[in-house]
Amino acid sequence: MIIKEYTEILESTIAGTYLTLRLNAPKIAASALPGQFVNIRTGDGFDPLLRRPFGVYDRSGDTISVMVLLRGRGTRALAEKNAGDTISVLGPLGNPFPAPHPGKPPLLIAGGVGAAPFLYFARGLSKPKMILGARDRLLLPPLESFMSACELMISTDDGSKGSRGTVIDVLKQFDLSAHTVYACGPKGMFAALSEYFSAQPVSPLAYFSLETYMGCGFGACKGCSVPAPDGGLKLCCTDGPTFLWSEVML
Amino acid sequence: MKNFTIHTLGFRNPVLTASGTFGMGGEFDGLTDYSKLGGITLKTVTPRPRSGNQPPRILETPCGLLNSIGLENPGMDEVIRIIKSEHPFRAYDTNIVFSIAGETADDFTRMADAVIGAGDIDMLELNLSCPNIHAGGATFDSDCANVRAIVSSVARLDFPFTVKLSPNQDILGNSIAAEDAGAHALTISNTFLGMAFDRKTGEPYFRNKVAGFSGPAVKPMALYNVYRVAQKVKIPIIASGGAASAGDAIEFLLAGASFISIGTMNFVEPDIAETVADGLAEYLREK
Ligand SMILES: Cc1cc2nc3c(=O)[nH]c(=O)nc-3n(C[C@H](O)[C@H](O)[C@H](O)COP(=O)(O)OP(=O)(O)OC[C@H]3O[C@@H](n4cnc5c(N)ncnc54)[C@H](O)[C@@H]3O)c2cc1C
Ligand SMILES: Cc1cc2nc3c(=O)[nH]c(=O)nc-3n(C[C@H](O)[C@H](O)[C@H](O)COP(=O)(O)O)c2cc1C
Ligand code: FES
Repeated sequence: MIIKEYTEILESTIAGTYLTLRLNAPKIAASALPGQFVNIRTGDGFDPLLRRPFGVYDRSGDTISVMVLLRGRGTRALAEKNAGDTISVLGPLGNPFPAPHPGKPPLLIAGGVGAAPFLYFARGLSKPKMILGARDRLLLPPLESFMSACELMISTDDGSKGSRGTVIDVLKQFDLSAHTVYACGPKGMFAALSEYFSAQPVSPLAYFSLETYMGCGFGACKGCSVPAPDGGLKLCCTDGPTFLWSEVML
Repeated sequence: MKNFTIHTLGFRNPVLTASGTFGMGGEFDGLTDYSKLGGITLKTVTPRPRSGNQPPRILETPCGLLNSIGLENPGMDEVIRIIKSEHPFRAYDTNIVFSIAGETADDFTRMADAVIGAGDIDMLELNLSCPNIHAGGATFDSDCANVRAIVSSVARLDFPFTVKLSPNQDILGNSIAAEDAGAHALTISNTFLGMAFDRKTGEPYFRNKVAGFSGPAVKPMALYNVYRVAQKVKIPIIASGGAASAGDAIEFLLAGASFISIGTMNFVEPDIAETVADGLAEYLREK
């Protein structure tokens, strides 16, 4: 069930362009699963008007956390909040990550803030491999928590951290048919992955967790549609946000 | 307490939700208490299924929202089939307002007849004002004679209905024509036409170029339209445009509306209509 909960900010941490908020949200925490997201009202006024969607980054007892890349007005408004402040959170929304296929261990691929939903997911798996890419070192999310929960492989376009190149360059060492692949990142990364997957002899079992502009997050506005290859449209919020890679056109 | 009535239909309070912002009803299950609302208006249904516009479909602006959804809906036959087989609306303890938009003027009466026949519906809304489907934003209410013909034909069914008009057309002339032709109520109004440009590409942000503008930003304009229509017609007005609080609802009543519908703000606060109804009840009690 979707719940609107007024949550207290227990901890607000800024590292570079990333904000992490830990929220006291007992009702949402009770049912939030990895891959789901929450829709946060960034202030009491009407500007920004809409809530902002963020994946559930972590969950522990009565608390959930979100990891936010500071991008525009809404995310900056969140960064100005302090511990002790209250924010309105709607969730859990969307569908959880499908479980890895038996015999096909998970392989996580993240671009920048796309890593956010994978921490909570990884905690329920046994130290999955995660390829994490960004343009440069400064755009990588805070790594500590990922290092304990995943086997991390880092790549940056400029080589300022990890191997030089994109996540695809790292992905090339893997036999895709042996894994259940989960990817989350910017549009360009999905496009490159789609191209790479299409060139494989056998279509890989791979999921894309998408970000779209959202009006509501719970199926009411029809604003978050994503084109499908059959000419139809899917709603990112209620059909997704995770889709089989071949189900959506990016 | 005041009596809230449209034609033969009574409402427990004057707060409704607006079409296209409350899904087909079920989306808000658990998020708000339907029994606290005067009524809910369902997403506009068209004769044939529509997949709607290609994304992008929405864009936030300061205190407002541009949308270019394109009337995505499963089509009349499918909706009627669901009503008859699953009776989804019986679960909602409130008045159900069913919004229809035809492709031709004749469609409205045919559709109205079919929906009334299917049952479980309390009122119809004729959406004569959808601005973002046809190129150039042409709507049924761009011609007063059209409004008159559609309304008088539907009025013969003697089933409660409201006529939803666009603020981008002659809303005053259309309101007078609709009342004259037998409308039971007017919904003032649908979205305002608006645009945005993508600064990087230099192209309009939406594929249809023009989009519908709504949310708190439009409230002063909606108030003005309600006010000037209320000076000229006697049938109840359902105000639609930017309402976000009981205070806003009171302003719409002061401008001459009898009912207030809440749209965009349902996305932000799914229980906003309930909150507004509570606040308004207090105000009406005090009066
Ligand atoms: C299901 C889902 C899960 C998400 N999870 C996370 C997460 O865990 N962490 C995180 O930091 N972000 C996440 N996002 C993206 C996040 O919602 C946006 O970054 C945020 O809404 C931007 O708000 P803003 O007001 O700061 O930016 P705005 O001022 O609205 O826009 C700034 C820039 O961001 C772009 N943008 C705006 N909204 C979105 C959006 N929804 N998706 C992508 N780009 C957008 C705009 O095009 C613009 O270039 C998620 C989005 C979805 C749909
Ligand atoms: C996303 C969205 C979809 C809408 N769809 C419809 C629709 O299908 N039919 C209709 O008559 N009005 C539609 N509207 C208009 C609303 O019902 C309402 O009249 C308008 O948004 C103004 O009210 P508001 O400012 O409270 O949102 C839509 C509005 C929005 C924001
Ligand atoms: S965000 Fe409103 S339907 Fe998906």
